[in-house]
Parts: sequence; structure tokens; C-alpha cells
Amino acid sequence: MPVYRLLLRLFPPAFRRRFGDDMADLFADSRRRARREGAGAVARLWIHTVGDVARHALAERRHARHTSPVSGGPVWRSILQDVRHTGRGWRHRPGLTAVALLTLGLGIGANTAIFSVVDAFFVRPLPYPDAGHLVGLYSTNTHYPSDRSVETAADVQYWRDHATSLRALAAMSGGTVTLTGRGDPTPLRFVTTMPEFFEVVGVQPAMGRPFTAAEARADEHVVVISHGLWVDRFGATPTILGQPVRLGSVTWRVIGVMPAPFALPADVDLWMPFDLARALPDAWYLSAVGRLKPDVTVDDAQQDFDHMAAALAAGAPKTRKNRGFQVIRLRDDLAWGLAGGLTLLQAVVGVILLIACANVANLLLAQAVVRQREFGVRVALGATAGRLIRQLLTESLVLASGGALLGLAFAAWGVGLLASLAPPTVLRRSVDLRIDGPVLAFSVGLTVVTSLVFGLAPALLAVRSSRTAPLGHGGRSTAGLTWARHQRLRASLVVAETALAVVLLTGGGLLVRSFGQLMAQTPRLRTDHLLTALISLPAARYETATSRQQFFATLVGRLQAVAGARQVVASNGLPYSNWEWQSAFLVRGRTGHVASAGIREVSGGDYFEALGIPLLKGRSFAPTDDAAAPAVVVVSDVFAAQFLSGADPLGQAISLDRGKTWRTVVGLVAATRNLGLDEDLRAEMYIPLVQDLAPPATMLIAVRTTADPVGFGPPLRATVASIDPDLPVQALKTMDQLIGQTVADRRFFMTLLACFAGLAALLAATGLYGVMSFLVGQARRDIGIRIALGARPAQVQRALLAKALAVVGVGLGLGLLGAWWLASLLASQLFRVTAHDPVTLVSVSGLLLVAAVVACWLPSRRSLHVDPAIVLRVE
Amino acid sequence: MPPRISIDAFLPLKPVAFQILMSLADGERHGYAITQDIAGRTSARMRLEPGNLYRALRTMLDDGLIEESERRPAPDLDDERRRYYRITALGRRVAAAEVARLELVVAEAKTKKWLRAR
Repeated sequence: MPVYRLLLRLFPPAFRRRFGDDMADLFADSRRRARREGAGAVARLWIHTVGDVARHALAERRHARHTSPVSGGPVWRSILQDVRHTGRGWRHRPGLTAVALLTLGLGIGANTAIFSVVDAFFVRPLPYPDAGHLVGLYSTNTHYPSDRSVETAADVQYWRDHATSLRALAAMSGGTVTLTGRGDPTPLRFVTTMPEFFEVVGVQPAMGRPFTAAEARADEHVVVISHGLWVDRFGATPTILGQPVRLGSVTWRVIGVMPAPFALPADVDLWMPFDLARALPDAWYLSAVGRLKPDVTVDDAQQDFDHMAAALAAGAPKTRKNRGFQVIRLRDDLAWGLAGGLTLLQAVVGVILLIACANVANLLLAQAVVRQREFGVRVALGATAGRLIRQLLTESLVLASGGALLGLAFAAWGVGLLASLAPPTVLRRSVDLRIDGPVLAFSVGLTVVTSLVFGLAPALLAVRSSRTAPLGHGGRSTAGLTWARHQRLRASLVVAETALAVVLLTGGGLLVRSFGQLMAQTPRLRTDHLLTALISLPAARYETATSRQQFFATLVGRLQAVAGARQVVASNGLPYSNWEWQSAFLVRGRTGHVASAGIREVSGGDYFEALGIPLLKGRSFAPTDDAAAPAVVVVSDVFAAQFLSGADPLGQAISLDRGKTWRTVVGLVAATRNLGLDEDLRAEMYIPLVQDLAPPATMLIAVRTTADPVGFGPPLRATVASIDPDLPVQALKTMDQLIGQTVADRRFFMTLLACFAGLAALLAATGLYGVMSFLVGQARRDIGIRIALGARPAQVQRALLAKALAVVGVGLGLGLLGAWWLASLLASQLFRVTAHDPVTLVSVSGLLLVAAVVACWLPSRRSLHVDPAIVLRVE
Repeated sequence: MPPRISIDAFLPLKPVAFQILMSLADGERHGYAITQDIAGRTSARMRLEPGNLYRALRTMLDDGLIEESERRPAPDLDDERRRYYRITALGRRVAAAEVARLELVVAEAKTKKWLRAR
């Protein structure tokens, strides 16, 4: 909305006062309608709107001028005159103006869109009072300096008793819980947190009240819910307070609703009481947020926490030697891990804007040559150099503003696109991207700077040449010196934009190559026709090992009977599911060798056959491997290579309980991955679920289907409901989707960067085309003379092409140097591709050269049709 | 005696102005309702953006074809801030004159052979 309000400023003030509100209303209605139709409709609306405002605001201004006395001093009036002059100029050169506007629009639009993300994380104040005093509190370990971890209750208690820098702190831990009794069972994110939480963040529930210390101590089932949950699930009923909600199998009472924008921690829907005194003291599961005392800085607080860490280490040197604490501004905490990528993207779009500026500067330089006569006339009529520069800069500013308006329309569309394309790991659901005050200020500032960058050089050159150009001539033949300067400046602009485009193309190319390498990895299992789901049994209702084993045995049995299921297995881990359990183990005969490896407990049919994991040696599990039978284990080839070095794995014995019981290795299978395609193959052990005394409560189900796996979702849900209607089926995904998810981040960054690189190349090629067209136009006389003297037209064309491509070659060389130097910035994003990958560098150079040849060749064809007789006669 | 305004000076009416007069002929409306009415009547062939609509309204207000209405629906039925417009007596006469003019044009056109339906 602020964008439209800004556009309305183009109308005369009186008109705006009279109709502005109604117009904004009308626009808001159209926008609501367009949003329902999708991003395309919104983009169309913005394009129509910009056109509508531009046309009618100008007309209204003209009308207002004729009906009211002219106001303002002479400077104001002469600037207005310049603006009007610019408008007339645009009408005479519609093609050039359109190219310049579009170029600037793309540049400013890309910058504005990316800055809206920067704004959401780093500029816009957090929606908490005095948010600068809010900090996140973490535990660190000198062994893993780039990492930070959650805290133990004992440490939090120590902070609470000893910290001098904090006014208050609140620890919390989160998870998901199932909302039942209201439509489909839905998993919701919750945190349990100390009653001080609301005091720390400084936000109280919009309705109702927070929970009290007494309620936390008494472990009362009271809950504060998010505004979103209240609206979505409770129809925003005003009588929500005191109402019961069923979470899992427990009934809670709603005592408060948080205000709409409140989202701390991100995407949480439920806040429940937590009593620090009753927490497990030494388990690492708490995160904490604190509020600094009024005159304390983050650095002061860090010192305070360093002192506490030192005091604790002095008391227990053995266990606490490497441990420390970290105090981090809450804003930085929320944007953790994002700053690097964002800086890179902002730099990339900045480069695109530079290329756009170089392009427009080149176009204006071309114009300056054409308009030399006009400037000469104005100087002869008494215009001062300052007046001329002001006119040209006004023209640039008007041009940049036009580009900025177009850019805002692009940005409004781009922001929507960003929000919908970004995977949730990059942009959380609660991040609100919008074009607000700071973003607008950014683009206005950018517009002014941009207009200076592309406008100053042409303006200065125009003024200089207007002094030397006599009135009677077209100018160029006598103003040789200035002409040469023009040419040099234009050539260096082409060199610069070519070099910048090469750098961006190399970056984009490296990411594309690296993604190609990633997708070329074999997944190590059969991914087609495979549906997976996660089922988590609530501990309250499935307390015993047998009840859990029984549940999964029943589920697998019933699923196998459903039409469309070929094979069904259940396991506490599946490849690419990001669910993994590790277990320490001993190998018999290797004393002292304790190591840890991934462990998967499987039940149901043949796990390896069902998932398509090759069995290399021995056998898979059989139904006879039950609780009463001798304990068995299957290991992966990586496990065998790493821990059973060389010897035949079959028949060896492995213990998972420090040597109390031993399991015989009965099979060897191919290793898989757990997190993603970029991961190394893993050392894994597999055991039958029935042979574990403490089976996990959370299991993954995999169904190999006969038809489209997505179609098996409803029968799977129905089968689970037939056993336990309150149990949600979570993370229902096909194996292809699971693998797709693991590469979503890379795919997103690659797509963004590749698009920007493509845009840069396109802009550079456009610029080249413009320069070449102009060159051919200006060189008509030379060409005419040469042809008259007997040169063949094709020779002339070749000479022109060679001249242009020499300039491109210099740009390419510089660009490759820059790319070589800068590519290491991308190293962390690359997979099996070095930052100086020759394939990428060669293909980028090839691509750019092809584009350059086409961009130069098209206009150079015109030189073939120069008729020397005509050209020379005109001259 | 006020100078008599010549109706003919307004003719031919711009299509936008004519459509707005037709909308207001049925009763008072605010801007949004006018665009909806016109879009409905012309099967969305004429869509008015805010700039276009309000400039036309401003011109027509200045010309006295329409005026702002001091009446408005009960506050709970509508947005307080919205302005309502209604057609003036002059506006009705101009609209009628435009219809008569168009009828003449159409009748004339129909006598031409090349326009007749086969």
C-alpha cells in the first residue's frame, strides 16, 4: 500500500486531497482480487496501475497548471521546465527511452526485492519493546568454534542466580504436539517456557493473561495460544478464554491469546508453563532468551557470562574445560546463518545495477553526441554550463525515477515470488516480506545515486563538447578530441560491464555445475513408488516396549493387506529422512575399540528388498529372528570397511550394550545416506525391532506401492486411524520428495544466482548491441569512403566486428581474473566442483562470446548496405 | 440570468464519461461501485483504473454533470470515508442528448450497405 500512496504523490496536491483516499481504497480492492488470482494477476495489476497513474497524473498536472497561478521561484520553475523537456525528449526517442527504463527497472527492482529480505531481518525493528536489550543465550565449545548449542537446566539456574547483566531470563524447550478433537489431528509447534518469558520479551497476551509461577510449579495444564491458531482453529471466537483444548491425550485450558505479529520462537503456536526447578538438571535441551539491564551492552553481558564460565570451569576443570557461554543480540540470533547468503545476493544485485548504469550511461553518451548541436545552440543563447549540467542531471533523475517506478512494480512481484519459492529452511513462514518505509527509502536513495552514476559522465562530456562544437556543423568532424574521449569512455564502460557479467556468470555457472554433480549422485536405493510417513507414539498411552512393538506390528500387518501396497516396512530411520539414531558398539576381538555408528531398527517385510538397497553378502532378516532367537545384526559395506577392516564380516560379533550381549553379523548391505545427496556414505547397523528391549516411540513407515505413491496417502491415514484415531500421520512424503527437500536450499540459491547471472549477461549484451548500433551509425561516412575506395562491404563489416570484439575480449579477460579471485567466496556452496572449475570458466567465456558476437553482428549488418554515393553527398 | 449552457458543447461525450453517467442514472454510487457496474455492463471490456476514474469524475464535477451526494447509506452498511456521487439535471440532459446523437449515428450507419449483416 505505501507504494501506491507514493505513486499518488504524482497527482497535484489538491486532487490528491480530494480523491486520494478513495483511490487508495479502490486500488486495495483490485489488489485483493488480483492476489486471489495469483502472482501473474498481481504483476499485471501493477503494470496497469503504473501506466494509469503516469498518464492521468500528468494530465491532471497539466490541467492544474492551466487553472491555477504558477507557484514557486525561478529555480523550481526551470527544473519543471527541464522535466517537461525530458518528457518531450522521451517522445522523440521512444525505443531508447524504453530500453533505458527497462534496464534501470530491472536493476532497481532486483535490488529492492533483495533488500526487502535484508529489511525483514536486519532493519525493521523486532516487534518487542526495547528489542535492542533482548539477547539469545547459548553454550559453546572451543572444539567446535563455529557451533553453538542449547543449554542444561543446571547452567540456566546458575545464570539466573549469578548473572549481573540480566534483568530477567527465560529458558524454553519446544517440540510438536497433536491437536485432536478439532477436525483432522494436526501437529502444532509448542514451547514450554518459564513464566518470566512474557516479562523478558515485554509482550503480554492480547487477550487473557500469561501463566503464573504458581501454575508452573503446580504443573497446571494451562496454555497461551498464537493469534494464528486462534483464528484458524477457533474461528477467532471471543469466548476462547477458559475453553479446553485436547493436545495429544491431555486436556489443556486456554488462558491467553498472543497478539498477531508475535512469533518467538518462530512458527510456534502454543506457550506452556515450565518450571526450571523440576527440569532434568543435566540434559542439553534448553534454549534461553534474556533481557539486559537498561545500561548494559551485549559486550558487557558477554564479559559477565565469560566470568561465570570461568568460575564454573574452576569448580569442575575436567568436564568444563572447553565450555563457554555466548550472548548474542536477539536480532542476530533470529537471522543466524542468513547474513552470508544475503550479503552475497545483495552484492550480486548491486553488480547488476552497476551493469544497468553502464548501459544507460552508454546510451546517454550516444545521445550526447547526437544532441551536441542542441547544446551548442543553448550555450550560444546564453545557457551557462551549470544550467546545462542541471538540465542533463534532471533528465537522468527523471529517467531513474521512471525506472524506479517500474522497478518497484518488479520488486512487488519479485518479493511475492521469493516468498513462495524459498524453502522454509531459508525463509520461515512467519517472516513477513513487504515493501515498507525502509525499503522505499532504500530504493529512493538508490535512484538518486543511480542517476548520478549514469548521468554525470555524459553530462560533463556534453558540456565540454558544447563549447568546442561550432553551430553550423553536426559537430563530430571538428570536435575530434572530445570524440576520442567519448570513444574511450564508451569502450571502458563496455569493458566494465562485460567483466562484471563474466564474474556473475561464473558464480551462477559454478552453482549450476555443482547442482548437476549433486543430482548425478546415485541415491543408493530405488526411489520410485515409495511413500514414507512418520508416526510418533505419545509416551502416555504407549508406555511399554511391547505396546509400541505391537502397534507397529499391527500397522505393518494391516497396511500389507491394503490393495496397492507391495511391501511395507517400519524403521526408526530411513535414508534421506534426517531421522537418525546413533549407537556405541564393540566388536568382539578388538578390545578397547568403542565407536559409534548409525543404527536402524527395522520391522515388517524385508527392509532391504522393500527399499531396493542391495544385499551384498549373507542374508536379510527373517521372521524367525524374533525376541527368542539369537540376536543378529546386518551392517553396511562402509561399516565393514571402517570397523571390521578386511576380515569377512559374516559371523563376527557386535555388542550394543558394552559387551553384555553379542549379536552375530548375518548380512552385508550397500551403505546409504541420511541427510542428503551431498553427504558421505554412512557406516550403518541394522537390527530387528523385536530384538530391542527399548524400542523407539517414533518410527518411519515406508510403503512400496504398485501405483502412484501419492495415491496411497489416504488409505495409509485411514489404516492408522483404524488403530488409533488420535494419532496424526506426519511428514507424509514420497522418497523423491524427501530427496528433493534435501537439495531445496541449494536449488533455491542456484536458481536465484543463475537468474541474476542470466540477467547480467542479457544486460551486457543489450549494452553491446546499443554501442555497436551507434558505432555503425556514426561510422557511415568512414564506411562510405572505404567502400568508395574499393573495400568490399564484408571486409568493412569484419573490421568493425574485430574492433568491437577486441573491447569485449579485454572485458572477458578482466572478468575471468575477477572471477578467479572471487570464486572462493562460493566455496562452501560448491559440491564436487572446485572454485576454479575449468569447465565452468570455458563455458562461461564461450557463452559470453557467442552473445557478444550476436549483439555486434546484428547491427554491423547495416554497414553492408551503406551506399557511398548517398553518404558522401549528404556530408 | 445565468448564461445558458449549451448541451451540444459536451458532445460527443467521452466513452468513460458516458459510462459513468449511465451508472449514476440508476442511483448514487461511490467510485468502487461505479467501476464494478461498468465492468459488469461492458462484460469487463472497460476496466477503470483509479487514476482514469477519478480524473473523469473530477472533470465531470467541474462541468456540473455530476455532484457529490451529501446523503450516504447508514454507517454500518458502508465505509464512512467513501464519497458518493449522483447525476445532476444537466448530466441527465447531456446523457440523453448523447443517446440521441448515438442513435442518429447508428441509424445512419445502418443505411450503408457494407455494414449490413448478411
